[in-house]
Amino acid sequence: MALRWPEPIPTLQKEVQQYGWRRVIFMHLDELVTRVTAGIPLTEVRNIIRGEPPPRPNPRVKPHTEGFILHIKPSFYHEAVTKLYPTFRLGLLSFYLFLIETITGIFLMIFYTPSPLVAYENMLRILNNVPFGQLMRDIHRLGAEAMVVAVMLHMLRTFFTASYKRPRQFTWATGVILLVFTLFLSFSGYLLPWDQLSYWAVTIGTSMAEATPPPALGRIVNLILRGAPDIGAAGLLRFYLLHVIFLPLLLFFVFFVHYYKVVRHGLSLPPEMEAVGDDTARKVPPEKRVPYIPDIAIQEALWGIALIAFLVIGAAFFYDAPLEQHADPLNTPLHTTAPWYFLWLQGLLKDPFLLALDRLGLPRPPATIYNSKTIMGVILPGLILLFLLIMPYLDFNISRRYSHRRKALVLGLVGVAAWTLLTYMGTPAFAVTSSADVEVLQEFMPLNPDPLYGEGKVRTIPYEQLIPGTYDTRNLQPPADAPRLARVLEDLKRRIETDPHLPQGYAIVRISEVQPGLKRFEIAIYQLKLDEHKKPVLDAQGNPVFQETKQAIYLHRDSFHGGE
Amino acid sequence: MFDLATRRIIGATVLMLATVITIGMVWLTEEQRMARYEALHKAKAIENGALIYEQYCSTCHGPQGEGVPGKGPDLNPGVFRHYEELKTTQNYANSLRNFIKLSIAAGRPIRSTYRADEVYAEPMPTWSQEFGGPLRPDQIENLVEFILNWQAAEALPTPTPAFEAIGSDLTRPLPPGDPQRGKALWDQEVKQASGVPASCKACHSLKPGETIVGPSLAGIATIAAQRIQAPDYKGQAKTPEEYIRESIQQPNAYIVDPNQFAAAPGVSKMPATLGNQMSAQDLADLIAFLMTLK
Repeated sequence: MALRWPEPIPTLQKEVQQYGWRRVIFMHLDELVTRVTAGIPLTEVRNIIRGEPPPRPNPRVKPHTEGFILHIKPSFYHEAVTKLYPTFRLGLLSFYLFLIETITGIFLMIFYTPSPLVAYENMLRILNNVPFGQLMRDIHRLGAEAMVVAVMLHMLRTFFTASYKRPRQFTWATGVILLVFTLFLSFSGYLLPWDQLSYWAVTIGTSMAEATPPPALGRIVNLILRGAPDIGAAGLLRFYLLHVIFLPLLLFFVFFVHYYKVVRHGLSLPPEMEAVGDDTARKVPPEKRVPYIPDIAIQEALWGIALIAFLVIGAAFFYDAPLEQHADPLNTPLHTTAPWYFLWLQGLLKDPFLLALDRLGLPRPPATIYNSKTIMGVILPGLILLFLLIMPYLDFNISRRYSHRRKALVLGLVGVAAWTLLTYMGTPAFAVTSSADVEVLQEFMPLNPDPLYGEGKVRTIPYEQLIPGTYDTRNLQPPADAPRLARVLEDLKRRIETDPHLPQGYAIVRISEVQPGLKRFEIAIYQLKLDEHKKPVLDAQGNPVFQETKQAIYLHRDSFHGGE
Repeated sequence: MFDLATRRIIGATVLMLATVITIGMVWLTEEQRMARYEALHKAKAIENGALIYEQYCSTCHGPQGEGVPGKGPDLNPGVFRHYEELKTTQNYANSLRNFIKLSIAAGRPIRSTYRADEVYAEPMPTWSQEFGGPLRPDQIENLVEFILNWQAAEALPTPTPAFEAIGSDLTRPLPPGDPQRGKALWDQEVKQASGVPASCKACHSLKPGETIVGPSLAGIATIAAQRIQAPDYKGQAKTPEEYIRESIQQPNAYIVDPNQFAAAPGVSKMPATLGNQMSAQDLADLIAFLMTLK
């Protein structure tokens, strides 16, 4: 027998006849809202907006069981973890940033080809030919920096509130892996613009790969990472694939493991609220419960809005992602640094151990026994990472109270201080020695923006004030109508004359106009030539010989130097 | 005044409005921003191009693009004039930008008809990495921007003074030569009748044994006297003066050591058009000077 609908089949017409059209519209709207929200009827949405308590049974938990996205979220939180302290929402912000990076990243991918031949040109097109291109790039870059900061702070917070302790050790370990992925994700994106900044930062960042012991393995690791002995077309493609597919997929996977563990164990309460050794995050008394819908959902939405506002306004008005000259493998900028979050590694590679030995006047160990690059660049960072991973399993202090964890807290603070110190040691301000004349030229007119000196003082002179002529610092007569030029020349004079490494130093500055709207600015630095006994070298007539260091840059009227 | 939830909602609304307004502002100014960035990038490209020009090009084309006699022609305004010429006389169909770019990238493998009186010893080499040169594509682009920036300068073409060139005619009798003026011509202190400095020293050294492109001319008077006696000498010269004259006006008549100094079989590296730039007096003076080099 054929299956039949019960008679009479309900039709819209009959419903209207039975209930009236107002009620029918309401019924269908109610049905629609219930489906879309995965279980909350229209009347309940109204109650939520009015701030009324839920009825029993509570329909507001339905989305947690019916819906896909919310099934991973707890349906209520302990009141104590809904304040700013103890979570500071750092985990949530990290996740939001990952989403924002994905969206802006896909936008940028549309206009980007990972090849050294066109990558830099693509960046220029994004900046001068793609509407919102610069905004998207700035948000992507600012978001990446913010994500590294958020994830690092998230880890510190977890350490200081002792939330890594039993039973959350594994959550911590996955968090450490997420931190590593975040750093590498940011780092792999660093290379893609293919400018001098990215090329040399990544060259430095990957330079320790080759030091992986034993040497045969080091060569292989280096080849796998860079695709060739040096970074080139193969290296760029590898970093691109790491950046857009491999690392995001891995990170996404580990994120779900991490978040599942977070929900499974509950958000740990502030340490002072629990008895020592207790973990009561999952036993929330009914009067302490804050439902996810609507309270936490609204909070999370507000944080998202605040974050987007921060990124959009920051990128539009206050932050521009840097883009330097095209990458040039033959021309190493004087002060090359790794990205800031890897400066500590660069500091380690300057080897504080050997520097300390030198300072104490002790002999350095032979390189066959102590290979600085292997120990400081590979083994020590590896051990630090391993220690971070297994640290919760080694912590036998069951108390989460601050007063019971004095040693751990001091250790944490010492770690932060050491990281800060090493970061400082990684900057060119520490223990980078180049000859004084080269340093002066870098300070006044670097070919690329310098981490210490920025664009250099010469580029702060407005174009009209670059008055052609020859200026000698021994007898300085700058033109009266060029105050900025006069200032820079005075600075140059003072800088050279006060430098003890430039004996009897002086400079001759030549400015000439080579094309309409294009001027050449040359600084020639002269200093007494000294022999190995620090005595002046004399020529045949017995006059002291001066040695010359010269460099020139060109300045165009439209290149917005002069503080514009 | 308001409870916490209300304050939060007000704050979020304000932030959301601020975000939307910011995006709107970016939207409205985006056209100008992109144009500004384009101009900025072009300026930077010219700056970079100028540095590359100084490093690689100025030795042959002059620091101001004025050319170096015997090494490279002037680019300002030569390259612009030559392009117009190619367009009108040869139906050359490419753009000026591409003409310059291709000339730099792929070089100029043959001595072209750049100028009627062209006297350059070496052809333009290839510069792009694509053709075995040292420069990356972006550096070539920057150079092109720098060279195109000269167009704005509108340099006036230098008028060529009217004179009777000696050319490759060996029969015309020469006036008596002045070795002092000949030396001044060699040192480019005075110019030839064409208004172009003599380019001899670009390729010939006066130090014994030093080869720049052509052989050293130290002791050329003595060498010339020996050379006309040599069994393999095929030229017309009977005296050292005639030998030197022939070498300048008809360098292909006899090539010393073709392995080293011939550009092609029977064709000397020394341009055959040098005579087009000099008057009979210039030639006589130069010969007189060279004859002092015993």
